[in-house]
Amino acid sequence: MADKSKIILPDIEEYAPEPPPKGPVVWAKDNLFYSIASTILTVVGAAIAIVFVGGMVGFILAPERKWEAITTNLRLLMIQAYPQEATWRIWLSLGAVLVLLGLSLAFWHAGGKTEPRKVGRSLAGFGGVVALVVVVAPFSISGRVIGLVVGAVMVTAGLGVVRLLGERAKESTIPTLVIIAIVAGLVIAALWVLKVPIPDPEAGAGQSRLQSIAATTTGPWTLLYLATIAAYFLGTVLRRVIPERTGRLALMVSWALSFPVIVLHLSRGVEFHGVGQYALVGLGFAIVGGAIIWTLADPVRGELGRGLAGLLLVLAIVSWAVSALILVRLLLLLLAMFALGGPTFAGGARETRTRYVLLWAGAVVITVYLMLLSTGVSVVATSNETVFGGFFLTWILAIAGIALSFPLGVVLALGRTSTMPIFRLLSTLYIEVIRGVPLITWLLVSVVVFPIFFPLDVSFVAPVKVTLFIAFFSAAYLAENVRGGLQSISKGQTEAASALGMTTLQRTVFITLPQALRAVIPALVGQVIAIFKDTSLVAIVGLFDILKIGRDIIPTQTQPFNFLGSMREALLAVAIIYWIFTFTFSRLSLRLEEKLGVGTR
Amino acid sequence: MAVTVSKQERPPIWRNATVLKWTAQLVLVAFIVVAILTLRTQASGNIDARGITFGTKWLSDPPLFAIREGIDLQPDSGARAIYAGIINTLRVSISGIIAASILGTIVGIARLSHNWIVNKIATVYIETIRNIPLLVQIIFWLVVVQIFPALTGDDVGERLFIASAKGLSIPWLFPHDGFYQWLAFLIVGAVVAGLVHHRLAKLKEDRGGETHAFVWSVVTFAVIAAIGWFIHPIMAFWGPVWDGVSSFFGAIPSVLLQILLAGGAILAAVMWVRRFLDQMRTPAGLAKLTDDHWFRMIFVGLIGLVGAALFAFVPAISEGILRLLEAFFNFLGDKFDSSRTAAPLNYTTPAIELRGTGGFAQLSDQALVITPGFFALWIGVTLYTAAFIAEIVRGGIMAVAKGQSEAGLALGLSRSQLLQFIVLPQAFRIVLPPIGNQYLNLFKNTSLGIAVAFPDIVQVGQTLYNQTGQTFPVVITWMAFFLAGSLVLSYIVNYFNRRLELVER
Amino acid sequence: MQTENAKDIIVCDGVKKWFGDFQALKGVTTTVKEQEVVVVIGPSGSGKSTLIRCINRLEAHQEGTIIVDGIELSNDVRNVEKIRSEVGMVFQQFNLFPHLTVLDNITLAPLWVRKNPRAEAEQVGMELLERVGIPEQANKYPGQLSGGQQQRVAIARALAMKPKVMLFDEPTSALDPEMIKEVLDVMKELALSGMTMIVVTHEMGFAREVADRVLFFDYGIIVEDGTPEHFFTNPQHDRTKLFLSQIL
Repeated sequence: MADKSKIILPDIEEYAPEPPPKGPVVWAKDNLFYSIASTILTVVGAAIAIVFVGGMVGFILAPERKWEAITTNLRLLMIQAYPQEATWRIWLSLGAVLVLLGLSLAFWHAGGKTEPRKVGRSLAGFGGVVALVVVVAPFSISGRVIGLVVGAVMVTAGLGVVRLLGERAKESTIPTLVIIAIVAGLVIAALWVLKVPIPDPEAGAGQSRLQSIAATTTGPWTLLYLATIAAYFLGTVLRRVIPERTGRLALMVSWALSFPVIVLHLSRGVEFHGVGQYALVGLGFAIVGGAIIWTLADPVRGELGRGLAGLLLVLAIVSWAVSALILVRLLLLLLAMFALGGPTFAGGARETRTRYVLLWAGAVVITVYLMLLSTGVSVVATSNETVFGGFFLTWILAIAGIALSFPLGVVLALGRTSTMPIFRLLSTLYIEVIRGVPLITWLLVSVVVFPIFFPLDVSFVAPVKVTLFIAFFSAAYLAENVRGGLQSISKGQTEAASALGMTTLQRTVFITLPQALRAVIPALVGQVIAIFKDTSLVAIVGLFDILKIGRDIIPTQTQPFNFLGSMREALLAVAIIYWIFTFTFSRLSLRLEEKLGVGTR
Repeated sequence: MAVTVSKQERPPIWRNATVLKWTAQLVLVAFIVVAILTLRTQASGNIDARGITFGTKWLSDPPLFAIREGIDLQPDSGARAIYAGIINTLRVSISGIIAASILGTIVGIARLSHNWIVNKIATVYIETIRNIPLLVQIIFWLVVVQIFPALTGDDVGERLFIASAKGLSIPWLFPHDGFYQWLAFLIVGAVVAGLVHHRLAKLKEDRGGETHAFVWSVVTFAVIAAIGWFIHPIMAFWGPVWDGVSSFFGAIPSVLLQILLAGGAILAAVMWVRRFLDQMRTPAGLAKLTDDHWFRMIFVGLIGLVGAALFAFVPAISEGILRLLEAFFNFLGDKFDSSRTAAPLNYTTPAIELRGTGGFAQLSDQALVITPGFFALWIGVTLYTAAFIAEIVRGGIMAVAKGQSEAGLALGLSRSQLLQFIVLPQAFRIVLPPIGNQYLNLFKNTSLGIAVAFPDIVQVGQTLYNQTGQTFPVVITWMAFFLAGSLVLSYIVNYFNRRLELVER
Repeated sequence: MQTENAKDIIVCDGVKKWFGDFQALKGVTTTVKEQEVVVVIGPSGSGKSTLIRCINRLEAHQEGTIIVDGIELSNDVRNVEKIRSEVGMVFQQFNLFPHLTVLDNITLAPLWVRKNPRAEAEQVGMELLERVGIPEQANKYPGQLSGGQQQRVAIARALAMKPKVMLFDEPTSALDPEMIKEVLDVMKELALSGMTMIVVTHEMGFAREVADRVLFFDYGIIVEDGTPEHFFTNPQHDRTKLFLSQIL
């Protein structure tokens, strides 16, 4: 040991912070070759990836592939037998949805901002994948050169932007909505620019001419794209003019109404029957019912009001056993519900009671309209029993299934968590029986057993039966999700509400349900994705959804083109279409989950 | 000072919370009963109009179709056809569950790998498979099989492995003559090995050191299995025993079982109510029973009564149970027959042979034949479920806090000990319930075999009702099967879940 | 605070309550007069919270009678709703509704239970927020407030129903020490304004300063009942003495 410690004055310069080790070599060492085992895994993994990507792209590019079977049949895949002269109805429907979407994005201030660094890196990564694919896969020389050039341009552009911006690249400055709009714009531009060979029967067998994919739709798509953007900007203006709360409420009502209007009215083009009779019944109900509700909701009536409302409910139920107009039965049921809810939601002040009666009148109008729609005759002539087919049908089944299952699922969840044993027992029984048996069994039931329970002259078209059972099925799963949310709410919440004098109904509507639903939004989106995928099962019971068309129709076409043996191409196309949407949904749900997690209130 | 109290011992009926609560519930029950009765009347009218009567005759009538694969290709009764379908469903389910668990675990761990390329491959796999409907995938795999060459007459002969458009064939070990007798040896071996393990583990606890309990128990089992392979015919003495048991069940009159079962049902209900009341008992006497408690007791009592009535007045149940037991032990007696002296397992290699009237080349069923339908369904459900299991496994491992591993390492545990004692018990406990759900999904998804003509219970059932018109009974059969299967599976998962919870303690 | 010959507003007579086989209340008999401030103290698990939860029927008592404002608590749905809207309650864990803004929390019950017009309910809500000292937080969500602010909102929420009686269930137990005072100040102001209050608390200073009566609870019964001076200076029962020696 030294008898005297020595002081070394360090050179301060030497202790300046060093930049962490960086660069491609370091990255490769850290992520690919950090141990012998890892090196082996890297080599094996790379080999698998090369073989797989090469095989896949090779399969796609093989000359014997009949991709024209897809490009020629895009219309069939999307809307099946929907007549060409009526396609404007589909475009109009789509337009309505997109305009609503644009407005909603504005009113809910959707979309955050992202860092240029991320965007640049994604672009560069994408370029890298393009370059890798053209090298690995059996492309022609010129194809490889073009691919490599495109890849290189993307990589340089992406990395160049990041380098150029330096530190500023780390600030969140680019709105995500702008990126989405640019990507969508590029896709639509590609529709105009990219040409593929399409078989040309007039030029003779085996001849084809170059044409853009989905040539007839470039115009409408562009129009819709512009309309969406216009709607967004309109929304940003409107949200300053009208109160946001009102705007959002109006949009939510529009969304709820858009589906029946599109499915039953726009896409079918209804020829109404018995308008006068229905209008008369509706008017009668609106006036007499309004008066009844007005009277019963008065707190002066007390229990008498509730008792009479209960009597109304019994009357409504009885009306289903006797012969009556379905509209009358429905309205009676609705009236009973309104009357029962009256003391809870409207009793007291004239103002609230008036509003409640107006709400009733609105409900009557909507019910009459929907009944008129469902009894009306479609003016769009197709060879099918309904006008719906292809991917359009998939969407309708999914949305209708979810929309119908939602109220049922919530009621079942409430039943299963209820303190009333019989409600609990029945809900549990329903949920477990439905969930214990596969969906395909229920779909077969819907087709072969369900009709047995109805008079022979009552017949449902297949999509209606199937939708009902998808909804029954989905409701059981939904109920379990909602139950999770209900159970996550602390007991203090219901106690606080009770202590304020709220009734069970008010507690549920104002306190527990909103919180429970918010807590399970990610699970609910997962459920929506699952149902979207599950709609493919309707192909088994003979509905012409996108899968059935891809599997059974396209590969059997011989006239005017010979597409025999194109089943693999068709299935791949179907798979890709499904994938695009489910993948987008699941990404959105992840974003939503993060947002809800961060903004915990 | 004096208060004016409007004292009411009981509120009027229309304002009594309990009365209102039960009125609402009973009204709902009444409504459901009326709805069911109405639908029933309507249905029976419709059925009569079509000239069909639903019954059980279709179960005993011979079906007019052949089943494409399974234990019985030409079933002699509807029930037998359903049974063959059930076996097919179970084959896909069980092999699929095993394969999906292995693949899912591998992919899940790969998803956590430091290795960039392994990580990305796992991610791409999961994101692709999860986002495409299973049905599309199954049909796709069926089409893929068609890439394999078709069979021609020139191909006849044995191979080690055959991949053809008619399916795959691989070498396989089939249970042979002495299999069941050997199985008896295996059971003995397992019990002895268990005892050895227990003994050695205790020795280790008592004296310390390392006794290699696991290694020795495996060795014991292997030795007994090996010995049993050669001397299994000595187990033949069980044959007469099983035969005796079989004839014992054959001799019991079904009335006896009817009485026993009915009595048992009532006894079980009474025992339940007694236990329930015991739980409610307090030092200060019986606790106040709420209407919920009363409902539970009445409900259990009703179930007991209904069960007892069913057992007592439907002799077919008792009769069926007795015949089943008789047949089962008769079967065992046959398997343990003293004439069965050949090896327990039989190795076979794939072969192509000419079969049928036209003499078409077919895969011989001497080896294991994987038909295109089975292949498509199996690989479809396996890959699909594995993707979901992988995400669960990843989540489970990530949920075990990093601090746990660090604490374990700091204590000086080895990597394998760390896994065995710290990480796996915790990860398993998190992972097991959702994985059990995935198993249930896989089990139910096998019903998609109907799309690729795989004769599972749904496909066989559909063919049956198409032929006989017995839609309703077939649907009931499906529901009973799937509900029972789901129940058994969730019971197994729950059992392990409880075991793991004990391990943790 | 208490006027002479005020009338009884809460009457409990032989109230008994079991949770399963545990008896939480073993026959509680007491009376609270109008404008009286009663502080209930006692060790945890002694049944003091259970009693006030029985008073607005968050728990149903099994034997005995509870009469609030001349109405007996029973299985009668009308009575329960009526009493709950006459009796305000403040909880230990605040129990604000996290999905509603502060103002919505306060106006919800006046809107839907009392069925007041929105404008009136919001005006009353803002006045109450000013009274508890946080009008600027009206449009925030509960999660954005401190514990003390949340509890003051909870008090405002209960007051919005214009209750005849206010029940406080350990209102300061979940608060950080520096926030206790702001809540107690609000409660004091409330007591001075003539509100009938039953307060379960461990804040002995508050009991001494504000209470008209102190009830000491143990083993599910009222062990001692008296004025604060009497209670803190000259406790009668051994159990009370022991308790006071432990906490003071």
